Amino acid sequence: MLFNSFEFIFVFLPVTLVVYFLLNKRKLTKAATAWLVFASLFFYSWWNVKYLALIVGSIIFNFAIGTALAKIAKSDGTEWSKKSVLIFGLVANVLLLGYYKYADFFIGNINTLVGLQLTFQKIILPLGISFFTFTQIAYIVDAYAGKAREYDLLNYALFVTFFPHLLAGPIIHHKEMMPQFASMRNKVLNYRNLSRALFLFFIGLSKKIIIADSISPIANAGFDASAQLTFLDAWVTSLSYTFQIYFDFSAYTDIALAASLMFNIRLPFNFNSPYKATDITDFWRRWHMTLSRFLRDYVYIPLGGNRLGSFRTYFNLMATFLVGGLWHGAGWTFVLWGFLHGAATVVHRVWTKLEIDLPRFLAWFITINFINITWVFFRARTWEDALRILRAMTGMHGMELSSRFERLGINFGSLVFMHVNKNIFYVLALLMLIAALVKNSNDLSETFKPNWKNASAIIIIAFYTLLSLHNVTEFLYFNF
Amino acid sequence: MKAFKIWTMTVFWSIVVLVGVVVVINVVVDAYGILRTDFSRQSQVPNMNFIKVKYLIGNTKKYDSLLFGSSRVENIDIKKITAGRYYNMTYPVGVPQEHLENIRFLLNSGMSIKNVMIGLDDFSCHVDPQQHRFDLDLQPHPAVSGKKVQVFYSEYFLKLRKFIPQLTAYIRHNYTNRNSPSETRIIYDIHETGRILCPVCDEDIERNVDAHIRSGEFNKPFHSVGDTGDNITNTLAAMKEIVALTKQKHITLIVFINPIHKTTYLDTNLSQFALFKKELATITDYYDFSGLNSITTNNYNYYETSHYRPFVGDMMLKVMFGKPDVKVPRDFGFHSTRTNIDAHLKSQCREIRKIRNKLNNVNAAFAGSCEQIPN
Repeated sequence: MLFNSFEFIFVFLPVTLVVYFLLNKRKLTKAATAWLVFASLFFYSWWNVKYLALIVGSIIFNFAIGTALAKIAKSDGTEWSKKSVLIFGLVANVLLLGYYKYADFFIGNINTLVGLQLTFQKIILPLGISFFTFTQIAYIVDAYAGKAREYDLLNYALFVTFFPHLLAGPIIHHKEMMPQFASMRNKVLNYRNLSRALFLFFIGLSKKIIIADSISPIANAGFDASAQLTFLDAWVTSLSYTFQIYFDFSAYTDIALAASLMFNIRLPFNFNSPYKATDITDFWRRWHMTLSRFLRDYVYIPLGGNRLGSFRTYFNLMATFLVGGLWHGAGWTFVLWGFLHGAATVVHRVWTKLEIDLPRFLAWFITINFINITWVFFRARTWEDALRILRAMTGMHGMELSSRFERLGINFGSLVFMHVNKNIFYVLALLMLIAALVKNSNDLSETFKPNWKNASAIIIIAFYTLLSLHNVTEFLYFNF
Repeated sequence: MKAFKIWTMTVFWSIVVLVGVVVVINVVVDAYGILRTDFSRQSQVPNMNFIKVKYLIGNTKKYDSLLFGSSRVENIDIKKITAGRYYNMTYPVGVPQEHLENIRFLLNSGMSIKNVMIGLDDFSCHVDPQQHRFDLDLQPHPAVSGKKVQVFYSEYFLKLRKFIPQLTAYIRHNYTNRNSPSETRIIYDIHETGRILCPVCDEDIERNVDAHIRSGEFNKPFHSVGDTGDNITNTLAAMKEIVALTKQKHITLIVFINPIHKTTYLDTNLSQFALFKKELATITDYYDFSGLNSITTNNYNYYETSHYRPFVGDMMLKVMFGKPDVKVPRDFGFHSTRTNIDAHLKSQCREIRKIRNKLNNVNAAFAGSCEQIPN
């Protein structure tokens, strides 16, 4: 079920919320938890009921692994037996993800390398598998380290399936969620949270409907016509995608945080104005923050982090970013995207050691351009498409200008995106200002105080967005 | 906490009331006729594809024959066809992929179909019906398209788009101008023939034939949305499937190409159209009423450069069925088959070559090479 669908907004969310608090009001807390698990599984099955067994199986398996790790620790079992259970759990999770997400990528590479004709499996990627698998990998690693214990399958199922984070994150930790679910204070309807949630929910929905969905045709038109793009086209295309992915994914996160907050559960922030970043490390502290945290805690630090000397630190950084790239999708373009970000992070480390400060604007300008250029690899369907767009961005496909210059007597021809939106220059400039200067939705919701001004703004935004829901499109991060 | 409660309640109920008012008005206006059963006070052309399928689902035994096509085919009086109980199952910009889906759906819904007629147009090989899936005027019934029912209905009623124009049209049509001739000229005969009728339109023409013929409207070609693409492969594939399906179900199939007004005809991509006609002849025989003939070159026979008048429809029936008893010019209608299509296309080419200087660049090039096309 999509957060921006009628069924979610008008039926699922209100019904789930009302029943949950009614059950809690009658002191039926276990039933309330069960209801939330049931509702979350229903939410997941709405996409395709066939994959319900997959998520349920994954939950039971990882719960069993976590329980086994706890029992071994309790009975003073050997480190070796604990480690073997952990490795078994990790391998099983990685294999599950590998099968659904990387099988065809693997087959394609084998075919290319060895010259075989293995048939592609054409496996449909189950929704949210990357997220619920990572969440559970984090859980079993924490269970191994003694940081997480869960003896109740229902509670564990709620931790994994809680619908606001199930499909596209944020990636959560057991230890930050379970105390919130257990707190009796959180089982009572809280108007402070509800008002902030409504505020954040409609900010998120407007980011998706008004911004992300309106620039996605520009990005799509450009990436679909990569061979025809000239200089300005290519820049408009890449910048459109740069803003689309931010406003789309951060909109999803806003709605996820808001939906969760209605249940008095605070999910971790995922975005903190990433396009305000003045260096690449800063960017990764602001972009998809829970994925960065996961990769830091479960890949970078276990590899040795920065404790084993400079060279090893750089290697660990590269490895972490390559895993991050591959996590986003089964393709070499994603790997290259990860590689470029890893390389930039290494360069930034070296630069920091030199202690040369760039002027703030220049640092921001270099960072946003690097991010914009690397998104091209992330978004392009093929390697060739990405290179074509990058060549066009450097002017190698000509410098054709808009037909609007014709009124000056200069005929430069027409641009691809002009058929989609003639005001795109102004739109992109405005979005750049919003992304780089305006307070983000987290800041706004954290400092939220009820007054008639924000009430009127939210009523207008809600009225418009709810009546524009029929143009509903999927959130981009559902593909990852 | 009280301030938060007041804020929440104010925002929540304001949204509920505002959105509720829009929904209620959209339901009352029902501009696309989605919930309507009485079309006598319809203020705009409803979604004909949806409402006709909806009507047939509830009347599977009433008809055994269907006439598919675009709105141009509305002007064929199916009551004059004696072989079968026909329903005029036409809808604006209807193309074969949509007809195929509807035939399949109606067969699965228990309708016993004996005859199917399909009228094709110049745009049949251009328009991608996928575009219609998001068009409130044209989209198919959700049971046919597989669109979620809640999404389908919310598109019509939970929307702001065209809210004010549709509301004002509704008020004008039902209250302020209720009995004015401009508001009552169109008759939606959904529950009988399936046709849209406009007897007043013909009366207006007959009152001043000269003015009608000389109208500047006849210099403007008609092209529907999406009529610039290339959908030949998909259209022919759909036609192939229709032929196979009708054979399998023992349904008599008659295919024809509409008489296309010369202005529109000469503005369409003729080499693409010729290719389409040639390929179509390898799939099925069909009647071709298009081309430069004495009907398509006479403005009197048309309302504008898209829709021919009902008496032209009678002539087409005469060519295809031998009835009704009307006079048909000799050059109107050609029965195309696999064996005679090349000769027919060459003859149409020759007509075009004669007026090469009046053609656009694309068609002038086609005229220049049309003796060789099709090979």
